[in-house]
Amino acid sequence: MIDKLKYILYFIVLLLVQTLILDQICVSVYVNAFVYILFIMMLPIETNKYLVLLLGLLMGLSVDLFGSTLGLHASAGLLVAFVRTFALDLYSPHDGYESNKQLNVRNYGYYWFFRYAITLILIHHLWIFFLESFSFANILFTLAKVGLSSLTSLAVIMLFHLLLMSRK
Amino acid sequence: MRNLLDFVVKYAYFILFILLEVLCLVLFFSSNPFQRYGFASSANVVTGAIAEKWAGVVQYMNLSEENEALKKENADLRNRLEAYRRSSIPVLNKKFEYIPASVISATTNREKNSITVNAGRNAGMEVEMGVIGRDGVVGIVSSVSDKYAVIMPIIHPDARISVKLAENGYFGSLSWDGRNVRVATFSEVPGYVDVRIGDEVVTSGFSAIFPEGVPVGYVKSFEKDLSTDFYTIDVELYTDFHNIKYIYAIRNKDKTELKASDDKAQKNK
Repeated sequence: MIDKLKYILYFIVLLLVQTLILDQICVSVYVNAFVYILFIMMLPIETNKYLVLLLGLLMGLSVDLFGSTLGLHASAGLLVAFVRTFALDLYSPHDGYESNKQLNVRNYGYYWFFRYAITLILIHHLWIFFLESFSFANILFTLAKVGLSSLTSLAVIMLFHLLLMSRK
Repeated sequence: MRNLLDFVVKYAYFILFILLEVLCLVLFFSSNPFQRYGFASSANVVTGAIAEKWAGVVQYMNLSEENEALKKENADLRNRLEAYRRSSIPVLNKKFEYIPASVISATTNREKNSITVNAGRNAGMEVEMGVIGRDGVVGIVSSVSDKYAVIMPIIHPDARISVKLAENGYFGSLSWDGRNVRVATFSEVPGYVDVRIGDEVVTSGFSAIFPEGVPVGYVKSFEKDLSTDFYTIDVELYTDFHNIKYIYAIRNKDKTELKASDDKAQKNK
C-alpha cells in the first residue's frame, strides 16, 4: 500500500515538474527536456505489463492535457511503456531482477541504468520530434533536436532518479 | 476460430499496444487546432486551475518588473491618446474591443507551441480572435473554456496571419518554420517591390481578426526566389515569447454582428 502511494506520488511529482517547470523553460528550440518517462522507467519490475501500458498512456495523456498536444505524449508514453518490457529483458543482469528491489542505480548500478534510460529516452525523443514535424524534410534539424534534447533529458532524469529513489 | 483465439491470446500484449497506439495517433492527427470547447486542451478546468495557481506563485517573484513594464506601456498609451486629442480627429467608431488576460502557461521551444491564459468564455473570449501583447502581435485564440483560453502563437506551424510592409502596403502572409522563436517568414511579396532591411511589418487588416497596422516585427533579411520572382522575408518579431506575461484578445464587433445577422438569416430560412 505504502509502495502504491509512493508511485502515485512519483506520478504527480514528475507530471507537475514536466508541465509546470520544464515545459515553461525556454533555452532553445533544440533543447527540450522530458522527465515524465522516468515514471514508466521506475515502475516496479513485477508490475503487470498491461498495467505498465495503461500507466504510460495515462502519464502521456496528462502531459498532453497540460500542453494542448492531444495524442502526442499519449502515444509516446504508450510506446515507452511497450518498449520498457524489452529493454528490461535486454539489459537484464546476470542473476536477473529481484522483485523486492526497486529499479534504481543503487540496486543495479549506474551502467545498467544509463543504458536502460538512454534507450528509452532515444526511442521517446525520436518518436516525439518526428511525429511533431511529421516529415523527413528537415531530417538533420530534427536529429539535432533529438540528440541535444536526449542529453538534456538524460541529465534531468538522472537528477530526479537520484532524488526520488528509495532510501533502502 | 480456435487458431484465431490462440493468436489473440498469444499476441494480446502486442495487439493491445497497436490498438491503443492507433487510437492516440487518430487523436493526434484529427485534433483540429481550433476547438470550440476546451476540455481536451490546456484550457480545461483541472489543468487550467493548476497552471493558474502555479503561475500565481511564479509571477509573485516578478511583480515589480511587471509593474514597471505596465507603467511604461501606460505612459506610451497616454502619449498617443494626447496626440489624438490634439489632432482633433473625431473618435472613430469603436470597432475593436480588447479583453485583457494573464499568461498562466506557455511553451515556446516546441514545434507546436501554445499559450494558456486566464480568461475564457466568461470574459468574452472566442475562438479565432486575434491576440496582441505589449510589443505586437502574439497569435490567435484556438480553444476556449469558461475560465481559460489557449492561444496559438505566431510561432506555430499552423498559424498564418495576413501582414504587410508598413512603408508601401504590399501584403503577404506570415508563417513560422519552427527554427527560431524570434524570426518568422513573410512570403508572397512580389519581386518588384522595394524591400529594405529594417522596414516595419504590420498586420494588413484584411482578415478582420486584427485591426490594420498592429506591429509584428521588422525586416531582418530577405531573399528573392528567382524562379517565382517573389521575396522570402525573414521578420524579426517584436513579441518576445520567452517573456510574455499578459495579452489582449481582440473582439471585432463588426464580425460578431455579421455572424449574428448570419445566424438570424439562417434561422429565417
